[in-house]
Amino acid sequence: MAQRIIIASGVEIRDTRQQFDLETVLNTRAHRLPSGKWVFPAPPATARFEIVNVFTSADFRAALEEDKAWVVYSGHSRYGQGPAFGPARTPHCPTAASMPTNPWGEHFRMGWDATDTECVGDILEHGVDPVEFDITAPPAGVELPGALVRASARAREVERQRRRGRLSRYQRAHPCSIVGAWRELRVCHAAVASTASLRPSTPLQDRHYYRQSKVDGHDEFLTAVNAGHADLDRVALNCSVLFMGSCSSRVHYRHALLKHRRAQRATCTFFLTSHVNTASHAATFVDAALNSVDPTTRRGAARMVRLLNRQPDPGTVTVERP
Amino acid sequence: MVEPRLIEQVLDSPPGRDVVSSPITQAVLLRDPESAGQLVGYLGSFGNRRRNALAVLPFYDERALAPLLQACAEQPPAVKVLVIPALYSILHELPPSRIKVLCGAASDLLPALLDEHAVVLPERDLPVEVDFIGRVCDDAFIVLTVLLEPDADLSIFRSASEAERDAGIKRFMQGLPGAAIA
Repeated sequence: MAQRIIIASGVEIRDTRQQFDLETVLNTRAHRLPSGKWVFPAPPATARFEIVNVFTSADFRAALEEDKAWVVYSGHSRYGQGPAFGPARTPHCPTAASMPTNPWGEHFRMGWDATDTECVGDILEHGVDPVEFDITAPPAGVELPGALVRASARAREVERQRRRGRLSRYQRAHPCSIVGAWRELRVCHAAVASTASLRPSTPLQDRHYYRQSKVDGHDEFLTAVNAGHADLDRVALNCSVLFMGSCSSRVHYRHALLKHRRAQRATCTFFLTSHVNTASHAATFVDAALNSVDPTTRRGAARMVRLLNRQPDPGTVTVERP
Repeated sequence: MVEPRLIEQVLDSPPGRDVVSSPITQAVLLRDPESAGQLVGYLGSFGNRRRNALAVLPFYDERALAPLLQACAEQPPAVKVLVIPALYSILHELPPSRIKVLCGAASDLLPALLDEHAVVLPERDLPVEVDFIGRVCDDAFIVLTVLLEPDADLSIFRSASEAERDAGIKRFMQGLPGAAIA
């Protein structure tokens, strides 16, 4: 039976150079059937590989549940909110008229219970409206990345000082200046809070932030949003390989993936990235597979890591074998 | 050391040729760890030589760690950042205890990466969500931590200020076996 490789191409990345490189590998090395799948080698030879390219969250989920499948996610990490899928040529901020449901805000949940994201670079840029996570009142038992644990501790300390009347006179007069405090954008940066997205919407109007910085010369505000792993929890992890080729996938998704694999006693090998990356990972993975690199074996996984990491900007791919 | 003529014979291979499988690579380059350092010298070039040097580097073994780091010392940040994925590739199959010993033995060479404060942006101008703008030293530290402490929560490091990250990197260096850093 042919080894199935399923490439899940996410919103925007499905329209970029990474997708072009993937399709080039598929169209030059494999044979496309009328059904849209690719097989290798070409008929009449018996196919050793069957490759499909999918573009929806439902198909990504089905891929994870497919027995012994090799699955690659080629898309954005969405700051840890979860893979996002959308139609071809989805704009960076689709209007509500053209897309009532904004694909940038629909995620396959597979990460920490909450994550930090950028108010301007993400929420306003894409016109999304994620549910805010109040770092001053984290629910008991919630699992957060260390960065948010630290931010929460600082924000709660500020609130404690405030309740006890222990803020300095300056801090009481300038609450927006308190580093690490959970502050309202509309109070501290009214112009930013009232900025409309292209949807149009004003997703920052009721939002809080805990850190301000400069990114590409503009002011950026870090906030916390709900994320979770509800979709991963519902998956029977039957695939043999999952390569999350998105940016910094290790820091966003490793924890939930390892926990789920342990709970299911699954034997899926994970490939995860350490940094931002622009490499054509799906194309390289498929090319290596067709060259008989088996990522499910120790030797094959090591070879796959080396092949993936020899591209420019690979984001340093790491491997987690079962 | 390998004769530059031999190295360049490999590096001048045209696109589509598997340079890792080439007899010179297998029988000469990969058996001579010093040649890893020589390949670093070609990462600052363009075209075939750069691409092929990048293609071979991840296939060295642990003996190439010191030559790689030594060669990085004289290179610009844009070259140093290219070596980081190769470091992971070379070391990742070893147990953390062995990696720690190797890093300790190379502790005087690690500053080539861990003291490099420049930011190198992605080469390809493609849509990317930059959730952490790492300096070369940050990216190197992250990869070394992944190798030595796979369960470490690196989100804390990523969210820290540059001064805090510098302090974390210094503590890392001080914690290596045989470290001589004050």
